[in-house]
Amino acid sequence: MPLKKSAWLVAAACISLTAASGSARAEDKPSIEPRAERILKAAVENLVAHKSFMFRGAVTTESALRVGQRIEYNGTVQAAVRRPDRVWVKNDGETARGSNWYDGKSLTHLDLDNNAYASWQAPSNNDELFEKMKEKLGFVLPLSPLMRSDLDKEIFKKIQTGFYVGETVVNGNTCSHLAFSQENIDWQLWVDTVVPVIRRVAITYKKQPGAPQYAVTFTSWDFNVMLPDSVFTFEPPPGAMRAEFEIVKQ
Amino acid sequence: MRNDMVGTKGKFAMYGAVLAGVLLALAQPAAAWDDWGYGGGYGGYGGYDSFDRQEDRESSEESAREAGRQVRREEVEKKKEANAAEHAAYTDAIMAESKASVQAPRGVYYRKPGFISGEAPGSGAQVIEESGVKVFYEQGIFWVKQGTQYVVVNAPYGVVVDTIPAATTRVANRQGEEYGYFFGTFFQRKDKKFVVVKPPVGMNVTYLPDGYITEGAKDGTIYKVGNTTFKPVFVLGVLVYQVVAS
Repeated sequence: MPLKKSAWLVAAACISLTAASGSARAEDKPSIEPRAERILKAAVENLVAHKSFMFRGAVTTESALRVGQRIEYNGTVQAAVRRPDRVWVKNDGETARGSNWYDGKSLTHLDLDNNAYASWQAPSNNDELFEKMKEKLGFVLPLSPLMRSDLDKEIFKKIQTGFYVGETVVNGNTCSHLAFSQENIDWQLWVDTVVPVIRRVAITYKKQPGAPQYAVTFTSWDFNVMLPDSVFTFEPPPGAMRAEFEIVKQ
Repeated sequence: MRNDMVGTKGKFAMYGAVLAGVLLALAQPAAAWDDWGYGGGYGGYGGYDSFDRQEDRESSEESAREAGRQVRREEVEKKKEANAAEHAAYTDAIMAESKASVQAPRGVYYRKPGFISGEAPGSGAQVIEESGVKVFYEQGIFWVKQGTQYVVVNAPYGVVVDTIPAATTRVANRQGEEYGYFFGTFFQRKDKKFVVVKPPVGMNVTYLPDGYITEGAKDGTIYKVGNTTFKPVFVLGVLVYQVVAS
């Protein structure tokens, strides 16, 4: 079922950067071109340095049909993060439309197509939320790796190779194009050359049939914005059905 | 010699007349092209003297053709609007008739329990004796004859059918037991046939059967269809419906 497959892809996209299994073995020293490493480091340190931020992006998710044909689905993603314990993420696309609120105590997921929601008693901070969600609920928030407070340390643990591809323009911004390889995925990053802001990310699932890709082109970033609690507080829409989460692992 | 010359001219005149006739005949298809809006061209060009007159004539002809085309365009637009309205009414009726149709497989032959037809099931229908009642089974639908009509009934538990519909969804529980699910009916493979079973408690399905009733329970929403109760559950982030009682 395409919807399910795409949901998996989105979920997989989110865990890839930091949580992909089969990370580089300790004895395998990653081979990263110094220039690529320097730019990547600046980009992730910029993200980690901010206590709060918001972003919007245009998403493309690929799905491979059984016959090998690849289909591209389009959508958008929006997120608001307030460290250490507030997250809101909304994805709106051809295959799935959902919104997620985390208020430091519970996570609520709303399926916008079916107007159904479920809440889960969550850990007490963002980083633990991202880890436990995958373990307990079996899915993750879109682009959650970019929201981690330890991204600057975690991201380098999985990389096997990385290099600087060149300079290009993304949405009118001149960017450094970087390419990295991990055991299960290849991923590319486009970092603004003026300020170290990520303008685009593309992840290729090279071990999946058809090697589908999940890509986000960021259309806006807002750093250190005032984000009141109400942004992260769920209010059930009229007529919403209350569902529950099936816990994958007790 | 003169006579021969005159004769030769006469032959040329005759050949000319024949040639003109042939050209006229060949000119006919050009009229057909005009019907499609292909105006003008060199075929009717008769020299400077006739040019203005011909232009006037062509202009009035073109106006007439344009008027005709406009009428046809309006007819097409009206037809489109009528078709759109008909389609919208059809879709609304379907949505009102069947809540399940929103998520259920599309383009699938289905009749919900209670549906009455004056036509008998097809000749390929399987006939099953169930508690002394003759049940007709065809493409996942069970029919019973009532007087001169046929009515769709809920799938009787325990009956064995030869085939299941192509749109049957394969579902499995955590124990690895596999079932086929088709609009509220669960089938379990038995040798090379399929037996209709009670909805297995704990089983997740991707759509609710037709005719469900929504109730707001204390712990959340539940859906009831006959004796079967479902609840909405997010499994791996995807909304499904779990059988909680049957």
